[in-house]
Amino acid sequence: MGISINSANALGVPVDQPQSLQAMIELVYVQSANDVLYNHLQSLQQYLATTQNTASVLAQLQNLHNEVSVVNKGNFASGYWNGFSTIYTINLVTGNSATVFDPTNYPIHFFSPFVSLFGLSGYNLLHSPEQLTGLSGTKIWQFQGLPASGSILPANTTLSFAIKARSFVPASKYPGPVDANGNSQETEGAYRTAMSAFFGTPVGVSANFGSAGFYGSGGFSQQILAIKTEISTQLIPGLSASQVRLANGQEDPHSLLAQMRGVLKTLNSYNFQNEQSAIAWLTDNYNTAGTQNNATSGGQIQQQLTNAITAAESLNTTQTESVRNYLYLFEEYYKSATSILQQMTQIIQKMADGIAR
Amino acid sequence: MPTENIPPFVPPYDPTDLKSGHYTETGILNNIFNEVIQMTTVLQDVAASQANRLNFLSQWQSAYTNAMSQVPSFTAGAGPFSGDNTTDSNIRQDLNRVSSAVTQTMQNRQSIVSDNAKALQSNVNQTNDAVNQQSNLGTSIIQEMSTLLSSIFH
Repeated sequence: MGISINSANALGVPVDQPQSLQAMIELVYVQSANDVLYNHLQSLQQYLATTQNTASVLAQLQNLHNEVSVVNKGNFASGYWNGFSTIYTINLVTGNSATVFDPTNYPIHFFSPFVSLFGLSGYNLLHSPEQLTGLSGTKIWQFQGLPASGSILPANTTLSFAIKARSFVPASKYPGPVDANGNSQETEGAYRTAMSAFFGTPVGVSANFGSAGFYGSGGFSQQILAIKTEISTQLIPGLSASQVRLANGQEDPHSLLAQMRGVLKTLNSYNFQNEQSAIAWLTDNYNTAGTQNNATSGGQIQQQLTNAITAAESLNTTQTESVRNYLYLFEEYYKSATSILQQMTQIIQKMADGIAR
Repeated sequence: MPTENIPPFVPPYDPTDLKSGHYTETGILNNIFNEVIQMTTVLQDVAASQANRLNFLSQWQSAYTNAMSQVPSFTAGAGPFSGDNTTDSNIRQDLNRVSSAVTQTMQNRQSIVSDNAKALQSNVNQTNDAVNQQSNLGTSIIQEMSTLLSSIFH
């Protein structure tokens, strides 16, 4: 059922081809909606694709920038103390031996937890390192498992053991000259030097370059050069085309386009065909002493990447709002067409009812 | 019966058929929908890459904690300079002051790493929100299409 009319329409239906008024609404009215939406959504689709490619490239770049690992400082005691040295050798004639050992005569601050026993394997000294310090005078050294009488040892057997120790303060500095207040400046100075040598530098980072290595096919160098090319030849031109400029005609310095220009500029300042240069990009000045207290240099590349990612997300949010707006328009257009058709159907039904009476 | 005189069957013109005219144009909605869905995946990749960076920053803080735990402290009664005499006491104070300064420097460095990690965590949360919003947009597009189809074929 429908009201037939003769007219030309946008679909090229011949003028003499009759069609219903409902069909006109469905085709011409809705067609107009389709035209409007298509024109806008087509360019929006390109912008969405560019934003998507940019975000994807930034994710790849972030993954490459993550190819670093922490270099732990290691053990302060083993790395920066003076090496073990034998400071005392005692001859043992029997199992339990009394001897004289005054630690204050030695420039020792931390005794080794180990005492080397020559010819007494299987026996441990019953003294912790701390017990060995601050002792003076006669000390009876006791050995675990050794009978007091020393009967296990043949008569007149001479054994010896050595006490080894390590210290971060050189012997010449200990105890050091004491000033009027009783402070040992040299001891403190030597300690400060040892501490500064180990703890003075930041905990470092090292480059990994992933499983493919640096120079190999699909390696770090190839990947980042490909990304650099994509940013310069595709993404920046694409973003530039979709960029809404400021009122003065200038580019928005906070836009994704500006952020990507900054990222590219930084990438261009490194030679990614050179491993050392790539390492410099990866370590991001984190290894330089003092820069971690200076926010302007350490981690600057990471900050730039984060800013670009944030800008990409913001632009995507704006564009998805546009999608919502056009979808709303689309929905309203189709709803209105549906409403008109329903009203027409009601009118026609009333007319048919009237005729049938 | 000769068949060559029978005209071929021509289906009657259907003026409500959208296929011949603007199917391509209305297909743009599908393209947009695909872009929205793909962007959800890309944003998830971004969140993953940022989370990996967070892992690195976390290890970095842990390395500082380990290093700080190695800073010696000097106390009376145990260890070097542990005597009750004035000289040992003064030396202990001097050395502990050095240890304290070293610890403070490392705490500052760790604090900067920690601040960076917090800022990045905020960005990761933001990216995750963006993933959710993107996913919601995809869902709402499907729902709107469903609603429209229902009203059109009502």
